[in-house]
Amino acid sequence: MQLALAILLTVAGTLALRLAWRRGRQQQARPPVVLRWAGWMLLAAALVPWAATGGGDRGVALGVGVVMLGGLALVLLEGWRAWRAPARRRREREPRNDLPRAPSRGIALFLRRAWIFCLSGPLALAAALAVGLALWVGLARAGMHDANVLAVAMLAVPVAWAVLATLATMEAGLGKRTLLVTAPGLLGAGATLALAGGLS
Amino acid sequence: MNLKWSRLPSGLVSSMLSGHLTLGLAASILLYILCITGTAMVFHEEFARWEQPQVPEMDSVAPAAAARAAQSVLSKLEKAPHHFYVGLPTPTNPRLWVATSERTWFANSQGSIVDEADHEWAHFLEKLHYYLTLPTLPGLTLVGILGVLMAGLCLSGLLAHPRLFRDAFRLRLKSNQRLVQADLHNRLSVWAFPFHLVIALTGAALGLSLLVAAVFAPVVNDGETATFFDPIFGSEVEGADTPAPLADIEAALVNFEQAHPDVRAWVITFHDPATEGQSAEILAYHSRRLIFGDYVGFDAAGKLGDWTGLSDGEIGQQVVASLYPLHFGSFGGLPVKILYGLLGLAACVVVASGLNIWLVKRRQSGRAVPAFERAWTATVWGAPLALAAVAFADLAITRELSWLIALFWTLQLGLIAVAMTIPGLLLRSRLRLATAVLLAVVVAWHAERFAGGEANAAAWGVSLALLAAAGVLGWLGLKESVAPGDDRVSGSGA
Repeated sequence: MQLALAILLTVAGTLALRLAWRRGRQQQARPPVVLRWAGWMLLAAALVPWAATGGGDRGVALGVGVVMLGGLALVLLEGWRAWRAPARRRREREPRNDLPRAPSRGIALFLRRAWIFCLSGPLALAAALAVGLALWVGLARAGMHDANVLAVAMLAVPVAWAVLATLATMEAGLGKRTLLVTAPGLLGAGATLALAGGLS
Repeated sequence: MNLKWSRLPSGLVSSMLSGHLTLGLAASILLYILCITGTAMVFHEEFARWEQPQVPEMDSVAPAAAARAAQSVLSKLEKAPHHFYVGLPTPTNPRLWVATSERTWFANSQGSIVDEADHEWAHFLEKLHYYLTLPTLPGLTLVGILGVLMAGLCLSGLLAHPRLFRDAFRLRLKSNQRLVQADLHNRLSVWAFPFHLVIALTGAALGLSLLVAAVFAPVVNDGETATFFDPIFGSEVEGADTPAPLADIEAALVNFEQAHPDVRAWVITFHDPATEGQSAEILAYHSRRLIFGDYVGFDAAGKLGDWTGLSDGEIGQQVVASLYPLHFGSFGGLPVKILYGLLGLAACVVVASGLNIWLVKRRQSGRAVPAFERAWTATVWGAPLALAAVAFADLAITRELSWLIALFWTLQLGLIAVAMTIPGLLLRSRLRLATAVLLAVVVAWHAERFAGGEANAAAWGVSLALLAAAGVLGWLGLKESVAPGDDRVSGSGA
């Protein structure tokens, strides 16, 4: 019963979102806000029976998995319909080619790319480790249990590195990117030293 | 709150797109190999059962049989192992097994040893996906780095896509090549976003764990990397190595069933077994949790101790214990594995189509890179071919892991090299057809080799799935051979 309710709410929520976003794409005078909210609310409500039927954490994971699968199934259905439909007279507009061109050539380009590699790789890693270490020392000092501190650090390092690597490779001046990557690292290292000093 | 995702600042979108492109180019080839092997790894238990279908299977075993199997193996070993394991049947791996760190044996339901594990294809998949076949520390760290890049791709991809919601269900498969690739990439990545982010972050956390321990331990754990994870998993106690009887498995299992009828004993682990200082634990599977399990210790007489806390201890313990099941989809039996398999295939398509978009854009802007286009085709369609070749070699030629690893990389890198140097030879259609033929041969060889013997449901399932894959690839390959299209850029499409 719980499982049936969970599936029903999930399917209804996904279909409501599909309808809302399709209408949004057709640029109707009144955006289907209610329908969109209804879709999200149904999906959120579905998590309750999912948790009840599958267990707290596991049930939520199952529910999210089913939403993904349902959405993908609807997308593939849309693709299948598009594939089967007769050829349209009006061709889709070719999107703008936004591929960036290298701003420099030769040795300058090589050095620029080498620096971006260093920024997004070793420097971003060092910064992420510094942030993780600062979190560790700070949380330990705040009295958090060792296991929780360890879990936070284990997850914080890859998250921080992913964010910093993205910042290091985005389209912006090299100086700005260097600052965005090194500043958190320096702050993390400084905080670690300060907090560790306070601990000792 | 009305999220105006469509009004993301154009500067931010442009910046993120640039970052997305750079990260994608940096990671694409290895990330694709990780995605395709990860998809297969979801079914590594089924592959192991397929490789040895003759091994007896059972729903459960009596505690006495588990104890008998353990004693039987231990008595035959020349040297006492440091770690020793007894695995009990589970729904996805219904076998009784006994293992040291190096070898594994299977027992029947009476506890008599009947076979030694010899599933090198499953082992190869594990080595390739966990370590990219490198030594443990550099391999695991490299895989962790790829997880970080994938997480970065998820974040930058999300922020580079202002039409995220409006186009969420749009898939124009009959449009021009660039729109087809872009729609495939965007739709699959958006709908599978939670999955992609979770496997990226859990993979990164698992992969970087040794590096984090090595860097953090000198600062926060007196330089002790060996005990770094003790707050999560508990500590191993070193005791006297004087010979003693093996801790009483039968009594421990009986006590466990009485004390914890709602959870299932899964693996019994020993540290320094059959010594005075041995420590023994039962890893219990909690069927309604995300965690891989929780440990409860027992003494020489089989008297149970306390839980380690992975199921009900600190939230950090529970989170870390959930990383592996979340990464490999081992928290809900076969249905969740199939879900993960489908989402894993979607991840392969996302990686492949992502680079395809770049290749099409290069071509359209007059900066085509034909050698790289061919190399990418050889990567995307050569990887399944190389994996199928390894499966065939494992069945028909050798079960030596090092040879299987050498075969895979020789084929994968060889295909890339040939594709780059000889245009028009390794077309997508040919690679698809070759993979289809090889998969069919693998299934036929497997059927012939194990004909007349016992066959479990997993073996049938794997063979049927491989045949279905061969059918789909063969159909696609033949269709394209009859009506060839642009096999340079579209040729690398997933």
